[in-house]
Amino acid sequence: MAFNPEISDYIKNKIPPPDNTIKKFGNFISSKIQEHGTLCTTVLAEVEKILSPFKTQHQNRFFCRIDTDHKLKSPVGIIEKIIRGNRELGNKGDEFTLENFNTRMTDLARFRIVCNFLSDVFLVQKAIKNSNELKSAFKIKEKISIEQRPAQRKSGERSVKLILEYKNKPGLFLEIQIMTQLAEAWDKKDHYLIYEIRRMSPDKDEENFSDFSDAKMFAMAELLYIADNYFDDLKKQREKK
Amino acid sequence: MKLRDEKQKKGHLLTIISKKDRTDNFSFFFPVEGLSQFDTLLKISKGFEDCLASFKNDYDYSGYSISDFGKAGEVFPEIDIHRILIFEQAEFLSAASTFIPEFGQALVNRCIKKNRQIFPGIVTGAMASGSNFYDRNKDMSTIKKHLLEGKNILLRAPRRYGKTSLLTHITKTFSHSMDICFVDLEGGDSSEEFVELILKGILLNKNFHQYLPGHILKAAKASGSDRGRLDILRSERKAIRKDWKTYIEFIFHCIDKAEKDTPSVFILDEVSFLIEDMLERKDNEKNEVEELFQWFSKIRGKYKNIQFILSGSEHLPTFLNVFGIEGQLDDFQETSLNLFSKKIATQFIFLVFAGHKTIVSQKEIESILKLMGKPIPYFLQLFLDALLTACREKTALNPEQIKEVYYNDLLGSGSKRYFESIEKQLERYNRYGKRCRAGAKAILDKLAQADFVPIEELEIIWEETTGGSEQFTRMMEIMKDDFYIKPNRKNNIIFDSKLIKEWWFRHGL
Repeated sequence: MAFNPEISDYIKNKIPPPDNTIKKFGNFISSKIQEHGTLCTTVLAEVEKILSPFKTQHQNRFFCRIDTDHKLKSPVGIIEKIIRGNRELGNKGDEFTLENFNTRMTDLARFRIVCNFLSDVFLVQKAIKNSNELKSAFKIKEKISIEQRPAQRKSGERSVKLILEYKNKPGLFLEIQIMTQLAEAWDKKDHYLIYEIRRMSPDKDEENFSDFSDAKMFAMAELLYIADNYFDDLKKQREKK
Repeated sequence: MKLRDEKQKKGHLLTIISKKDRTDNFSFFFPVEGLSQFDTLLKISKGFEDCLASFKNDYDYSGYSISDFGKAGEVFPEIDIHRILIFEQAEFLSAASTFIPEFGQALVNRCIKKNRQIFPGIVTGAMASGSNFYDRNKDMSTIKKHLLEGKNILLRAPRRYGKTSLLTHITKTFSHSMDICFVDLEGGDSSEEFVELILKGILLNKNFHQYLPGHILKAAKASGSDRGRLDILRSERKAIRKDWKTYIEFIFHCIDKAEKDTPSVFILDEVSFLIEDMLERKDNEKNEVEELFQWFSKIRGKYKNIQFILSGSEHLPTFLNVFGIEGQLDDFQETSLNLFSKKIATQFIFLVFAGHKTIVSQKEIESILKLMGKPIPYFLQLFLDALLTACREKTALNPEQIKEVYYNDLLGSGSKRYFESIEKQLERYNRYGKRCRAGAKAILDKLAQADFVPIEELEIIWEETTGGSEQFTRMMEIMKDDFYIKPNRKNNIIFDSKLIKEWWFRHGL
């Protein structure tokens, strides 16, 4: 696997031996996020119970599915985030480190709920937020990027993110992303076309996207948002009949 | 106690991966139903991590969240899907919801040792071998130590303690460090047959073929089948009958003179049966047994590179003594085979139930052991078998139903055949003297009805029943072996097995 030299150096110099190699560093990182995996398993089971009545209610159409393909952030993604965080924060004392990343990063464990309609996203958001089981076990914070003003938007992503922090163990986080099918489709393409390239060399947008593919992808996200709104209107009209 | 639900597809996979070869891995899958199981799942994950502490240089530990168990191999191609075992959390949790390290450790050890079967099966009426053979590590290392010190061993244990299973297991596992030949003496009733059975043992063990006379070796090579071996034994019978001592001494001589660094060991199992049957032969006298033992003593002095493990009932020396036979066994290192410790028995029960997809709690295991008393392997297996059968029928058993299985099934008339060997022992007691059977029965009847009985009182019972007291002490020794009776700390006599006591109370009185 080819890594950004900055990541390779970090692995070599910061991760304690004998795990400070490209081949082994993953074991070191994974060993620190075992609890996150366990948490993800149980919250997933709980969320499926929460969503079950909705699926029954909307059995004549697709309501939502849970995407569990990447439940734990990859070890290289974690290292990259530590480095990027430090670069952005500039050693102000609240940066990520190998010692604290597993209690500070809120997206180490995550899964995605992909909904058919925009209004379904908000139904799911509400149901999860109001679940007594989840409310009693977690502090729940929201990050909503679906309905943001243009000035606030950093990327094309439009989702609701619920960040759950386990009350019995502060610092143990899990992120639930809720988005529409169109937003997810966009995200998967963007991940390959833009995100990964930018992650490898964050300061070279001019060079990497000289064809303005980054701008085009951003614009596409906005178009899909309009489409989602339109589909939702059509749905409402049909349901009124 | 209930059958495990293995339908749930969503859950958590705990995987243990070899550091040297990541394709060498095994996993435990715990279905998860909701958030309420998070804290316990954490405890189980941590518990297994701790169980791996002694293997941490060789194995990594990892957890995977699984949405669809059937697709685990597709999502995590590194995982060996053929080595995934499904459990429910309850199987590893105490009543206080803490992880039970004994269970985790027992499971991890079996998986790491790559037992062909992870879970020991139930063996009733046959030897426990291979993966069904459980633990006995301490006994095995003691025996190995004595053998490497050049000692002969007299392995003693009451009936049904698993001597033959242990010795068969030893034959297989020690064969890397010594030439070891298992000889089953059951069925023999003469010195000639003693030799014939040794020859049979040698024919069954290729490592010993090199010491056979040329013509037998040739025949053994030509035919490795049971039929072929029978033909050889038949053809050698004449030579053995002509002079059994010269015959076997020639083979022992060849073994003794072989230039090798490792000892040659003969395991002579069921010596008691051989002697009993020799004595029972109408045309026989104790002189033949005495002659055999004298010769056996002589060859032990003569062939220094051959060692013997003699195995028979606990009372072998007493038995010989009853018949005034000088066993000359003083050079043997006596080794007793004990029962499973409580911890080992608990782990064994857990694994047996887990292997049958049945959840059994720590408390239920305690109740099983309390109900039957001493975990005599044969009877423990019978009890577990009865419990599993009942649980399969009802899908779950409550504590009251566990008791019912013990009293109605195990101690019920339907199980009488499993206890026949005990009754048969009593039938044979008259060989020790007139009315010995009646005397022994009177003692057992008394013991079955009391918590304990002073030995003096039993002696009076014996005297009243048999008309004399001369055989009392020896018979008590013999009964220890056959009926699991023993003196307690105050030297009163008790049934050491609660199960046998209760069985006798129901069916023996």
